[in-house]
Amino acid sequence: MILDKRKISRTQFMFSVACFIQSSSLLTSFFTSITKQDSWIAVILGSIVSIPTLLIYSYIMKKFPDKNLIEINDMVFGPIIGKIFSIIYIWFFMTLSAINTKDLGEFVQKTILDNTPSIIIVGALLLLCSWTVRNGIEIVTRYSLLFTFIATTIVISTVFLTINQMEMDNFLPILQQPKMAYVRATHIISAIPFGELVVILMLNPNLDIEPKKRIKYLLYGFLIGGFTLLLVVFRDIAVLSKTIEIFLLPSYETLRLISVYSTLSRVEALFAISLIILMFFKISVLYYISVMGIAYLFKMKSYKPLVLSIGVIIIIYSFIVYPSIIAHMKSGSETAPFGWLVVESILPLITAIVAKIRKLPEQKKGMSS
Amino acid sequence: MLFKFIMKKIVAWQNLNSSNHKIDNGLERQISNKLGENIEFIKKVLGGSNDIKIHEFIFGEEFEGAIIYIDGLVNNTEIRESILKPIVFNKKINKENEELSIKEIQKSIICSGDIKRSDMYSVLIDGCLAGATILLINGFRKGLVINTGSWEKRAITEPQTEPVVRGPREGFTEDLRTNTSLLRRRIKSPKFKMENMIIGRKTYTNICIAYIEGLAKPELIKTLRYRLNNLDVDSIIDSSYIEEYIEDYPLSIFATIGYSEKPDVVAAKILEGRVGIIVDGSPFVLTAPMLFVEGFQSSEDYYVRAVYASILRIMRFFAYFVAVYAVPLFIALTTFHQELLPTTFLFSIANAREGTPFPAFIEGLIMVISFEILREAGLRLPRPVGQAISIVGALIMGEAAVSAGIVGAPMVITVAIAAVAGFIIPDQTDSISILRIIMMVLATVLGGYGLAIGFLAVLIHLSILEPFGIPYFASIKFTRDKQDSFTRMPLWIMKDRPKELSATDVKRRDTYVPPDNKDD
Repeated sequence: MILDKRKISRTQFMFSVACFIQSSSLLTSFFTSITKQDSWIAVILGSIVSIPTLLIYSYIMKKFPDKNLIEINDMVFGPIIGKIFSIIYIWFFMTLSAINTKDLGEFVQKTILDNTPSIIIVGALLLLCSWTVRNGIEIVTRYSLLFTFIATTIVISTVFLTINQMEMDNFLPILQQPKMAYVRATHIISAIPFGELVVILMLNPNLDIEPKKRIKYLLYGFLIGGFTLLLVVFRDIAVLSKTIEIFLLPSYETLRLISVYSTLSRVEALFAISLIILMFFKISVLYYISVMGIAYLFKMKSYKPLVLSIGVIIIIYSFIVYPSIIAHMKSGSETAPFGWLVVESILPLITAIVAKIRKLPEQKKGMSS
Repeated sequence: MLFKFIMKKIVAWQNLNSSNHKIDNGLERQISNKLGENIEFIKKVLGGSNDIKIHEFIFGEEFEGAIIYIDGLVNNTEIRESILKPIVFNKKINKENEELSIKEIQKSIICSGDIKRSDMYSVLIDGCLAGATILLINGFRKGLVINTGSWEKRAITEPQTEPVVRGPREGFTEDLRTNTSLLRRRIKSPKFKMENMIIGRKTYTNICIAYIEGLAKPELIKTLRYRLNNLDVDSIIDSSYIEEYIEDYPLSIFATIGYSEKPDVVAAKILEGRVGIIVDGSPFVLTAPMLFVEGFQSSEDYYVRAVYASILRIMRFFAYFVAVYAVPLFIALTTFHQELLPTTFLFSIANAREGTPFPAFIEGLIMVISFEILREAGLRLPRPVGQAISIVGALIMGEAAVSAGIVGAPMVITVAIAAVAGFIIPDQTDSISILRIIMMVLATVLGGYGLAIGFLAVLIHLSILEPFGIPYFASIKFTRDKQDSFTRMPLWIMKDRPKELSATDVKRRDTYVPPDNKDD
């Protein structure tokens, strides 16, 4: 049973992964508040630590090339435990959608539209996303390349525009933070932008790529996204120095400082543009995945009736998920990574191990022998 | 979703209302072998129209014959020289063998290249109305339909809508045959096929679909043929009727079927795998499907040097953005994001807007709507009056509105720039006008955030469109057809046809171009 028959091409998949990571590169304060001017080290360490997780994902993708996560859970753990695991995943996806919606709503309300009720802001976006989601995954991911291009262009051009503000001394002193800070920051990076890539397991049946080559495009996308994240962190540290720890949106503050002979100033609008575009992409993907997860969980014949109702749930959830932005920050840098780690790394690892022990998938062996 | 729901309702409603339209006009019967009866019947059917000419004559010794034609649709010289003269001066006609002798008349007596033999009234009368001459002979159960059609046509002139500095200047005319000949002269390949069909219960309009076999997608041709054959409509006056009946997304603001008045443009599109639809009576030839990027490709891009053409392309995309977003952006900046403007600029805008009574949105709406009114007035009026309109409208009214303090000068400038930019992309002018107003509303309600939402919504809408199964917004993707979208690469680089459009014959050439001197 495949609910959405549209296929994603290689480029779309690769840049979807990149775009997904880039959307997190705008909200870096979770770890920059911990490792300060050494955050770039944390980014590199985090990327390296994430690679085994990605290998687990690609192992699962290779073993079950035309099944999504919910079906894989059912196959690997049986109907009851599999359903419990699936519910945990769906809860995770919906929480992520709600958190990202909340992030965007907060940002827009704080910086652009301070008198507009946030229900209007979030509602408009979710309505747009629901339109996309209703039309299937191909529409959701079609513009990943365009969005990545826009975001990368903005990052690279702002690097050049801030060159006059950069000072290499801002990176000093290197490696003077407490050791636990590096571990914590690495953990956060591997959990929050990179670990969220677990969503690709839900897109698995829609990929129009041979199972063995999926890892390649996954890693390419990961590299593009990771490199952008590194560039953003480098730029912010070089401009802001240690003060990076006090800002909620370091990139936004960096762009505010741009001033080239007072002709090119106030380019933080660019940050807003790239944030809205990338967040639109990320929320659409997460929204789509939540809808598909629930549709598969209840073995529905079509996912379309679910779209609007789940959109409403995400909006409501986004209002109650955190009481304030401070609570969000605190949970983002302290508790959430541990919760996310379970869903993002440990559950897939268990899935992979159990699948290996039970020698799943069986049908394939039957076919080959 | 709502859109689909409404469409479903409309289709269901149409099916409910449609009864079986069978044309039963009593013409589907055989002719009699008495000449008098036949002439009476035809007279009855065609009525007393004074352009119907019936000429009875006697030939051989005892044969009675008649020719029937419509004056003005036929060439009188041809009737005289190739029908009347050979028959009247021929002595060989034999009464005994009916079949042989009518065949003989067709084959060896009448000097015309296009003769049909039929015993049905419907065929005879249809032929007569299309400009043929009917020849009936007493005692024979069959009549001849001889094509003698010839009528006044407009000469081939330079098209008004698509003027070029460099490039062919011929334009299509209202005559189907002239148009097909213009295309055939450009594509001489035997695989260039033209299929004829007749559509319209009252107008019997000739329609021709032109494509290159093995190059256009077979599914595309099949879909088109199916849609055209099943078209049961009253009249086809212009090719835009056809466009509206067969397009996939009739309620979308973007056109999914293109049109052109220039044979070189249509030939180039057919050579990329599209299908041309020529409609008799219309100088605009349709090309299906039309993709978004085609609106930005002018025929002259391929006639000037590649670098310059690429710059023009980029400028056109930029102009599209200006045309749609200039006014909304101005509204968003002055209403919500004043801090993004440089201080001196902000001061001058504030200065200009100080005396104006309305918010920016109302101001913009006044200007945009009066611009649309002026444009429409300029188009519809006779040309000498049109100039007066533009002077009164643009110069006097604009100047007076600013000095009277109804609108600010910066808004006038913005609207003017947007309007001029919109004219650069003629194919998308209507979508630009609609989008501009939608974006203005969004900018007023949600500022820059609303503009971003609107931009994304347009992208989603574009990606949903798939006219004839081919993605509408495909060629703007970086992965495919990048040679001919944002830039126009030199022709020798573009060695593949657009992959989505062409079926099997993808390569435009095999050898290296320009040819290498060293090869022998």
